[in-house]
Amino acid sequence: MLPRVFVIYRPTPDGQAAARFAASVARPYGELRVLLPVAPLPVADLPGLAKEVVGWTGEAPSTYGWAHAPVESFFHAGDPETFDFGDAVVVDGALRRRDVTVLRPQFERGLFSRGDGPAMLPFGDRESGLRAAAVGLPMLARMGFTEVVFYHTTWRDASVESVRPEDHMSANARSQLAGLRSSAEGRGLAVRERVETADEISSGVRAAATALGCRLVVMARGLTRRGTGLVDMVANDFAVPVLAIGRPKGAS
Amino acid sequence: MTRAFLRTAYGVMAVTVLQYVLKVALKGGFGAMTHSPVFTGDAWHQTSDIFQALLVMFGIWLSRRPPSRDYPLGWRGLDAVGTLFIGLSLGWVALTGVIVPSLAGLVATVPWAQVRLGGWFAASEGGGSHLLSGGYGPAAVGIMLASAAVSYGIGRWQIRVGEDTGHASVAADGHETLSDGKVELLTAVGIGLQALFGAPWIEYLLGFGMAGIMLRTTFEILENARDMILNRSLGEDAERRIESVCVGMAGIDRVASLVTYRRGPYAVVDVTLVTRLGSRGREDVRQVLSKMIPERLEGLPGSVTVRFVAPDPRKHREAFLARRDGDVLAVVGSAEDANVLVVCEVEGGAVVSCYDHPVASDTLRETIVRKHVDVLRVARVADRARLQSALGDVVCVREEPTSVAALLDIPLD
Repeated sequence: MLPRVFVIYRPTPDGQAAARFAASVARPYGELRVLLPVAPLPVADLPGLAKEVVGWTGEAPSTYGWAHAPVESFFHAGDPETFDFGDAVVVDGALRRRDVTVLRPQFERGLFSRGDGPAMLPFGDRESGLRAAAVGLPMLARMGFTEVVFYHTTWRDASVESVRPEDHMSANARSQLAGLRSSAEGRGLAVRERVETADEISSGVRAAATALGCRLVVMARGLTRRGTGLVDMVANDFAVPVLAIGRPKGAS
Repeated sequence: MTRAFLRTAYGVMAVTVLQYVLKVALKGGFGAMTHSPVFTGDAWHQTSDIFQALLVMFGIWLSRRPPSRDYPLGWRGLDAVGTLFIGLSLGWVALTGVIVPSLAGLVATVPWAQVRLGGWFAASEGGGSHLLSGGYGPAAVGIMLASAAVSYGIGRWQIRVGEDTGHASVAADGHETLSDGKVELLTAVGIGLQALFGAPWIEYLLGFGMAGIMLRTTFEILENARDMILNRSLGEDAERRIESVCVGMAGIDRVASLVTYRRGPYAVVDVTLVTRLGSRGREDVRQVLSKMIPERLEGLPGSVTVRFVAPDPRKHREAFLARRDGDVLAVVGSAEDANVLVVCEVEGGAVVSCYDHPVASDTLRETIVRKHVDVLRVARVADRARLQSALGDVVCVREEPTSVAALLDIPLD
C-alpha cells in the first residue's frame, strides 16, 4: 500500500507547483494531505484554504480523495521541521529532513507531464540501494511507471582487461543488481541497466537520468553521512524530480 | 586502392576520373574510325567532365583545410560553390548537348522546317548513318550501353559517398554522371531505332524527354547550392522536431527562440530556452541537447548552440492590509481595522522582502499610490467589491483565504 502523500502549504510559486505535483502523485492512492505550518489549526479558514489548494492542483478534488470525507480531515497543523509525517511521502522542494521521505518536484508540473519515461534507481554496493528499492519499487509500480533503470558507477579494475564497465563491477554490486532486477520484474516493471565508470557519482546519475528522459530518480539517504549527502548532490539544482527515501527511525 | 580509400570522396572521384579517361579513349578512337560525330562529340564532352572532376577534387582538398583564426568555420563553404558550378554545367550540357542537337536533328528531318529554320542550326548529320553504313551499328550500341551502365554505377556510388562524407559537390557530380548515363542510353536507343526503323526523329524526341530529366536534376542541384549559399532555414519539420526535443526535457519552461540555417554542408541550430535551473542544471541539459538535436537532423552534420534565459521576474509591489498588535500580525479585510500596510517586493511571483508602513482608512488610497502598489491583499473582507470601488482602479484587490500571517507569503523575520 502506498504511504500517504503530504504537501506543505506554501503560497509561493514553488509551493503551488508542489501542490500540483503532489496531486498527481496522490491520485493512484487517492488521498492528499496538507500540512499548515502554524499552530493551532485555523479551523474557520480551512474551507478557504482547501479551495485555494484545489485551485493550485488544477484537478478535481475527488481525484485525490477529498470527496469522501470533510476537507478539514485532510489538513494538519505543525512545524514542517518537527512534524511526525510517519511513513508519508512529502512533496516539497524546500524540506531537507533526513528522517522523512521527500519528493522534490523540481520544476515539473507532474510525474508524466512531459510524457512517459522510466524511473531511475541508482545503487552501489551499500545498503542504501537495497533500501531505496524496498521502499521505492512498490511506489513506482503504483505511480504508473512501467520501466526502471538501475544505474551504477564502478571503479576501473586494473586487473580486468575488458573495456565494458559491467565487467569491472564488484561481486557485491553484481549480486545487488541481480536482486534488484528480480524484485522489479516481480512487480511488473521492465528493467534496464546502465553501468558506467563515471568520474563522479552524482554527475553520472544526473547525466544519465537527463539523457534517458527519466521522470523520477529514487535514492535512499545514507545512514551515517553528515553534511551534504549524495542525495542532495544529485537533487540540488537538478531538473528531474527526486524521491529521497528517509532514514529509518532511530537511525539518525 | 584499398576498400577504405574507395569509400572516401577522393577515392570515388579518382575512379570517376579514370572511367572518363577510358571512355574518352574508347569513344574518341571509335568515333575517329567510324567518322561518327556522335562519338567524337561525346568524347569531347567527357574530356570536359575530366576537368570538372579534377576541379571537384581540388575543391575537396581546399574544403579540408582546418579552421583558422581568419576562417573559424574552415573552408567547407566552398562545397556550395562547387555544387553551384556543377549545376550550371549540367544545365549547359542539357541545353547545348541535348536540346540544341535534338532540335537541329528534328529540323533536318522536316523539309519545310529545314527550309525556314535550317540556317539557325548546323545540319545534323545523324550519327546512325555513318555508323550503319560500315556495319558498326551493333558495336556502337554496345559501347554506348556499356558506357551507360558504367555511368549509372559510378554516379550512384558518387552520390552515396558524397552524402556519407558530407561533400555536396561530390553528390552533385554524381547526379551529373547519372545524367551522362541517361544521354548515353538515349544515344544507344537512337542508333538502334535508326537501324531498325530508319526513323531518326524518334531519337530527337527522346532527346527532349531526356533533356527534361536533366533540367530537373539541374534545378535540384541549383536549389541545394542556393540553400547552402543563402543559409536557408532547415525548414518547419526540422524545427518542429527540435522544439519537441527541447520542451520534452525536464526543467525547460519553453523555447524562447530557435534559429536554424544551412551553412555550406552544415546545419546550424541556435536555440534559447527559458529555465529556472541554475548553472549546474543548465549544463546537464546542454550536454544532452547537444547530442539529441543533431540526431533529429537526418544525417546532416551540424553544430548546436544552446543558450538559457531565466523567466521574466515580473518585479512589482504587492501589499497586505494588516493590523499589528505588538508581535502579532494579522491580515484584515477593511481599512478601518488596519493600522499597517505590509509593502512587499515581489519577484517571480514570490515575496522577496517587505516592510511595514503605518496606514489609516483615510490615508490608504494615497499610500497605495505613493508606494506604487499593484495588488492589495486582504483577508475576511466583508465586501470586496465595495473596497475595490473605494480604491478605484489604482490597485487590484485580492482576497486571501486566511488572516494568519504565517500562512501567507509574508516574511516574518
